[in-house]
Amino acid sequence: MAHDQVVHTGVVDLVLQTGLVVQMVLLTLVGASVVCWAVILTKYRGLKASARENARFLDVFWKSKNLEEISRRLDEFPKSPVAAVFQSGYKELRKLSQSERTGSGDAEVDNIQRSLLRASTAQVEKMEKNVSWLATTASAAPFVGLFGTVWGIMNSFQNIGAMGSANLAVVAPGIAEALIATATGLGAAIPAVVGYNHFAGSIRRITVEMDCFSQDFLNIIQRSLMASRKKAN
Amino acid sequence: MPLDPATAWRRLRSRARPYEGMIKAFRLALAYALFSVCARLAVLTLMTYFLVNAHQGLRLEDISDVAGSNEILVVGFTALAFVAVLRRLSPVSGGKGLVGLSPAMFETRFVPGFLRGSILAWAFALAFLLTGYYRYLGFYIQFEESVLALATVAARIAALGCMVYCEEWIFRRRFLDHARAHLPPLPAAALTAAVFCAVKALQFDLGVMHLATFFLFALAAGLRSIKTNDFLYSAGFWAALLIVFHPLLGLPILGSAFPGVLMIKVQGMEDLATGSGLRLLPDGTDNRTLVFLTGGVGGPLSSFALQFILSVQVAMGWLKLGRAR
Repeated sequence: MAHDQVVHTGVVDLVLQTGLVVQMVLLTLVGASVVCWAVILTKYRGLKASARENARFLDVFWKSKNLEEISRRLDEFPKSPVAAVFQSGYKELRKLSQSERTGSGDAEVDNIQRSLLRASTAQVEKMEKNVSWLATTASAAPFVGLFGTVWGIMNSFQNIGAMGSANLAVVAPGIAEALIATATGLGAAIPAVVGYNHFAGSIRRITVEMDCFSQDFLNIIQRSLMASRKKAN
Repeated sequence: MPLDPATAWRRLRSRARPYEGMIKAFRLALAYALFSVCARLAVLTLMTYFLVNAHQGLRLEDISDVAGSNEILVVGFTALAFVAVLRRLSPVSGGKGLVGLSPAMFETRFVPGFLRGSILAWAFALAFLLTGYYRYLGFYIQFEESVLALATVAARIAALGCMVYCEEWIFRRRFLDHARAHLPPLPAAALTAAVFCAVKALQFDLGVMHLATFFLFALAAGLRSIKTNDFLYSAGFWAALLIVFHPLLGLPILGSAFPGVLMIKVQGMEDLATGSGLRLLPDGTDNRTLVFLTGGVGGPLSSFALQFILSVQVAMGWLKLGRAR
């Protein structure tokens, strides 16, 4: 009867037939893949929100008449790295304007520049958090998978040796079982590579935005200092 | 000198005082489990009494079938009764109304979760339909009996909604709050999830895969609840999954089968049900892979695919919690 002959060709059967080491490798790879997808989804949402809020913040920034007005609206952009950079620069500017002026205008600009750079670096660090996990998985997962395959094939050859025959029917099932580890490794690595490259590009774009904004902000400060110096003269 | 019982009790109480929150949490879970079991027992007794009176020569299996098919309704409305009683006894637990759910909370917190859960559930079903693991058998509700069928569907939706909302309130609000006072976030969420699974195992006849899904969902919901201090989003998400899978698509959940509005069945399940063994499907995949991915007769809550998605949610919750701290 056709139904009496059970055919085991599915992925689950291949996994069940593998040895303990290969199963451990598979479990590790599935765990790594779960974390990868979590990082991908979290970063995707986070960076998308950052880019959106950056655009909105820059729109508000260029349309506003003074810095105080912008600082009042900062709560509207909690996820914007450019807004965080602005906040840091503006805080430093307020501190300098409240303290008694002793240094030259250039020293004040230097202070603000340092503060902008510090905020910008902190924002980049925040955006890059956990992205390294994607790079690690992308580079290590295929090798971990390969290790599982090599281990499986070693066992398979040992079995072939014990059976004393090497026809396709004896060799193929063992190799098929072993290859599932490489397939899982690639399954974990491919989304990680794609995600890493995508996020690296997004973070680079946002970093450029922050740098450009910092330069513009410094220009505005310097222009206003020069204007106030001219008035004083 | 032997201690007298009163002194021993006093000493025990003073030693247990630092863990009072945890004791309260476990007392709540135990009370809910007992309430649920007693209610089921009462319903079963009434059901047996009326069925035996109405039909002569009724077998025990028939009564068991009737009770089994109405299990979700019983557990759902029991959960509602428990929360209502609890809020009546302790009105300071926040919120207004019978179960503390205001329309504004419903709209801003429950509905977004419900929408996301619905999208996931429909995408899940669609993906398995497109891969051929599910079969669409048609629209189940007939015109002649539409009123009765729609009423049954509505009752099931209401029961699932009540069960999910009330259990989220019990576990993700009350139990987790107590556990958080004594434990770090992840162990607190894990303990809540484990107790939630234990209660579910007591309420329904569930397999390991089903319980694993419950644990993963409860862990993800717990982590989210710790971060946002809100249990309603997760309630909406879980309610949507159960409602779309069970009364709308007719897939079995919690060991209970129901025809639903649309009829979707797992490919090749008849072969398993009749015990004819595994068979090779046209695409070269045998039933074991199909059962593993779709959950088979256990339904989508036993599916590895859903467990993978929930695992990703757990990892996301953990990452977000780490970032927030």
